[in-house]
Amino acid sequence: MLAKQLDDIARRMSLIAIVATSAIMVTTLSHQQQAYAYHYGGQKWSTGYFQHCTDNTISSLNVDGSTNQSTKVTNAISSASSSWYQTGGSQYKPTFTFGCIDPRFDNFWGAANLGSSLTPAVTTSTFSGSTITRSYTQFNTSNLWTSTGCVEDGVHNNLTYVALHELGHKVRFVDVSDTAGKTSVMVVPYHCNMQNSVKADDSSETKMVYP
Amino acid sequence: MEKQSKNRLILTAGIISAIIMAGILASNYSRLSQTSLDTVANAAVAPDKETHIVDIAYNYVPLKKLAKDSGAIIKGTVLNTTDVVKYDNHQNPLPSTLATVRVDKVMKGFKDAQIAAGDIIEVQAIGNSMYIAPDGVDTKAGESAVFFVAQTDGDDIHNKGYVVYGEGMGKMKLKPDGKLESKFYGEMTEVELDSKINEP
Repeated sequence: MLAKQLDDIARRMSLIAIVATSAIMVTTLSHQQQAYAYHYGGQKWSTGYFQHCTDNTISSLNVDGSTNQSTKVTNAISSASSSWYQTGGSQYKPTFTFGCIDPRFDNFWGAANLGSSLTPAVTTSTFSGSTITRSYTQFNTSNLWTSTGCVEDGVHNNLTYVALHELGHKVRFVDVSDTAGKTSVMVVPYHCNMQNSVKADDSSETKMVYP
Repeated sequence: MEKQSKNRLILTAGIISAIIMAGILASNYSRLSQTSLDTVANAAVAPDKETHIVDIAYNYVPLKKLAKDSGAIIKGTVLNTTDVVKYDNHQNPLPSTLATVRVDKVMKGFKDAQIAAGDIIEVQAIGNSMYIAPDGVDTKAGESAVFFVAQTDGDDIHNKGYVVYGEGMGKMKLKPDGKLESKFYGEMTEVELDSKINEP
């Protein structure tokens, strides 16, 4: 009788141990998915290395009240690039050059009249399978751009903040709704306290994509 | 004694299996994260197929301001769509869609242009069938929606004519249950929309 009871206890304990371990494994996997994959779109640059290129269209942007401010624009892009580089993985090594060999095939930044100031920038990316092969960003000439400070009035945008967000698209992070409760530079619409820096989630995910 | 040994054996097997699973889990902790990303990558696109995404940045404005600044607000049905592409100085495509819309109801009219129910108009928005804009207007033939419309003389993407004001912010899709759905303003009835855009 006693032996039978011991036998039952042993069987139950074994079962509990296995079920508990399985539950821990499932929970951990679920946590990993949420932590690292909520705003990665699934494609990446083949080497993690790309150049930033600009052309003279950026001189048409109104920055701090006047046009012909190309240096401020390139400084903003360069600053945004450095932020991603410093927080990204070791293989993510963007460099910056003013002008480039062929803007059709490099990572291009320009300016265009996109219509309403409600759309401060557009980034278009091309993929071959899961590899990013081309990306170009147009800042909207209808907007009033600033090199410092930030307001959310639908017209003014901080160049570095928008560049930080667009760079996220260039490494294939997708927009995150501001109702999702996430803290990320990829949150939309434009929020000064979200787009002012690369956040911890962005950094950790960049390291996963470009380890 | 034999049964006690058997019990110990079963217990030991259970504990060992648990330890082994935990060990495997721990050793693959970082690799699992990468695997989840690779899975996303593989599921997203077919190998070597060229695809395009247009990511539009947005400045948010409250619904009432969007209504005030847009020239007209119409409820309409999309009859068909046409891909339009302009190019920048380097032949980079600037893609858009020209949607032919039958006006079913005018919720707010232009001051200097007449639009009436039954009219057929064309409205343009960034992104098209080849260059997908996930947060864009994304019009499809047959669907009904409310469009916040503005007039333009044309720019580097849009032709002269009507555009969806604020791109993705300026469209509210009509759902089968009769409610309007917006990525930026949530879900509401037509009466609620009317109330929001006309509140003092």
